[in-house]
Amino acid sequence: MTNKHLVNIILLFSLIFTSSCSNDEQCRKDRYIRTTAGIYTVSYNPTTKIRTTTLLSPDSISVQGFGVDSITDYKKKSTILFPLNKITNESDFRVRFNEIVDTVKILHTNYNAYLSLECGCLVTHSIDTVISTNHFIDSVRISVHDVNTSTSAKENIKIYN
Amino acid sequence: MLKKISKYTISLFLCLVILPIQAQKRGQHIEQKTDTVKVNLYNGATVYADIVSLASPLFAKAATYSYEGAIQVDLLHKYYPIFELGYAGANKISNENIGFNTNALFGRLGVDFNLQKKKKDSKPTNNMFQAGLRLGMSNFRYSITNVVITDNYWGGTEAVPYNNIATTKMWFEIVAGVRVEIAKNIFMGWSVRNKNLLSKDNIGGPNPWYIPGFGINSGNSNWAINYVIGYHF
Repeated sequence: MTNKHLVNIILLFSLIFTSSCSNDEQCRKDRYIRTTAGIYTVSYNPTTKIRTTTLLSPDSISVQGFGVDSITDYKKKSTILFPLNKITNESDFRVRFNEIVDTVKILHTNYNAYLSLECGCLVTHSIDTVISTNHFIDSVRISVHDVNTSTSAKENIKIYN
Repeated sequence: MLKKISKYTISLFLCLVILPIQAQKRGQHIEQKTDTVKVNLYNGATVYADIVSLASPLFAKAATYSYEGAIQVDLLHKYYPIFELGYAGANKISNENIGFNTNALFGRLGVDFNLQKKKKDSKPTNNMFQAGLRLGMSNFRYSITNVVITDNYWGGTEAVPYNNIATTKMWFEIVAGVRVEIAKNIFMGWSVRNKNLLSKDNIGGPNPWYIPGFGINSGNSNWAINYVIGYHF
């Protein structure tokens, strides 16, 4: 192998590597986190003694965090979202079902999950307790405590009318 | 980019597989003729300095730097144990304005094999086509700064500090390249490396963006090129 060949090979590899080492620095990781609540009604048949739980879709639902200006409205939906506070461990909501207003208090633990330089940090939650007033709501139950990217399709809280 | 990587992988694979087979066939032929020639076990050592690493800031938008050298021993003109030592670091600010910085020593230990067999009646030469393996390690500290959690719904921000985190990372490398004697006892050459991380990252943990000696930690695998100049003692 002559020195001329060696130089050519070095130049070729340098070109290949400088062209292939570009980094687009875009965040491509899943960062979608949401806390979902389903609304249910329970009916009891005294003759058969069977209790049946079915999804309920009120005409209108609005959700507003305490101290937050924006209101999220739902029409004929049986599922609503509660965006949990990333900084503190308590999130309080005013929920209006048609014309009846209830307050829902969610106590949760926050976890910081570092993703990358491009994506920054993600906050996941674990729901500890859910308390509500009982005007429209009869009771609440936590079905999935963890709120993270893998549970975004799951229902975390069940609200019974 | 994936296509390019595949192309390089296939080319490297062909180099590593086909050349040794051809060399072996030629070697079998030569062995019959030259089995009486005695080769010394120890044939000196070569000290190398890497030139590509000096220019690496140009390839990574000046966010990283790396300087390295090596000492390699010639055993039987066939086996070349090598120890590489370097110093590398990074000072990076991402589009999200998150900063990363580290600097540390790293080391690699391994062996190269000379895959070039002398042709019948050819002139004696010290030029080589080499392939080999390395085991690399770096113990280093790093900081990730300006990580801020912003809550757009409730309002408020919180800074998350990741300062002075200590870690040790290990990796192995598959290396192939050439060495040419350009003047008496002075060698130049290049090598291509495929680096594979042995120490896995923690999911959700503050993992390092850059590992000294391994490069940018964008996955478990990394590519690099070294261009060296050396003196044989």
